[in-house]
Amino acid sequence: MLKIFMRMGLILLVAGAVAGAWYFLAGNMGFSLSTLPGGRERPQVGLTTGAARANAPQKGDFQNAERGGENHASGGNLGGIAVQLGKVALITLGVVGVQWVGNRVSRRRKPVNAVPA
Amino acid sequence: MNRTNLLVDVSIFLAFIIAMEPRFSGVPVHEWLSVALAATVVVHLLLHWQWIVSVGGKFFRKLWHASRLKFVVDSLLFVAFVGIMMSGIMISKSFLPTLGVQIQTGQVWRQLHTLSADAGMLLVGLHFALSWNWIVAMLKRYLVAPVARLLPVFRQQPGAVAASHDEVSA
Repeated sequence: MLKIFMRMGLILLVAGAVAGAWYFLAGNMGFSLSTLPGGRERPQVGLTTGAARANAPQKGDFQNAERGGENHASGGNLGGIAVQLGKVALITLGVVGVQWVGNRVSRRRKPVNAVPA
Repeated sequence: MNRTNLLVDVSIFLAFIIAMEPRFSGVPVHEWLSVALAATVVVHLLLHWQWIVSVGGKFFRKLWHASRLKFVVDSLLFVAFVGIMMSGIMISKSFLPTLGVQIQTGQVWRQLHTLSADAGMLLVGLHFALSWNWIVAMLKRYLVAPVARLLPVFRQQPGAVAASHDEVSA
């Protein structure tokens, strides 16, 4: 039991270190992130303070601002779930397909030993 | 043990897919589900501790092999996942206020949340692809074989089901 707690502590310690790195990144690379996809800010109308801007729905966030903001209750959007599943399936099957083709090619390249008659 | 691993992995996957679509669940469920997901990921890591220690120990000693690639992908997935959690907590609208904590954060954390979530999605796909043989074997054992046993067509040919068991055992 103690071993499990020690392992858990180690995992949380590493997670804490990684979280610290993310915090450092957020503090130092804020401006460059705005150029990444999904990082473009939506023009804010009528919001003047920094706090108001920070709390307003943003493009690239939950993408449901059109439906009443990010605090909007469950929309039961099964299509969105299907899209997420499709993305994972596409990536997975793509890589599995590449591996399969790679294996086939490497098998063909292996020299076939001639068997004496 | 395999069954426990499979159950934990399926739970993580379902929670991840639902958490990736906050429009489906609503933000409060999105946030609390993600917190539960983080705890389940810790369990997942504990269940695979021997593999992590074994591959991590040999990482710089042996030449290139599939386990090393998997270790790199899994490490990046861990980093991305911590990023998703960290940025998610920083922009939290339900989890932190429930704990009585209010943080005023800027746009950067929102962008990091989106960025790390996209990276996480890509890495989850890679993680699955690199564990493909295990996933197929487990699905055969715990999904295909029990269903096949129920169908009369397959019940007359027990060799087909037994073969899949042998394949997994091997």
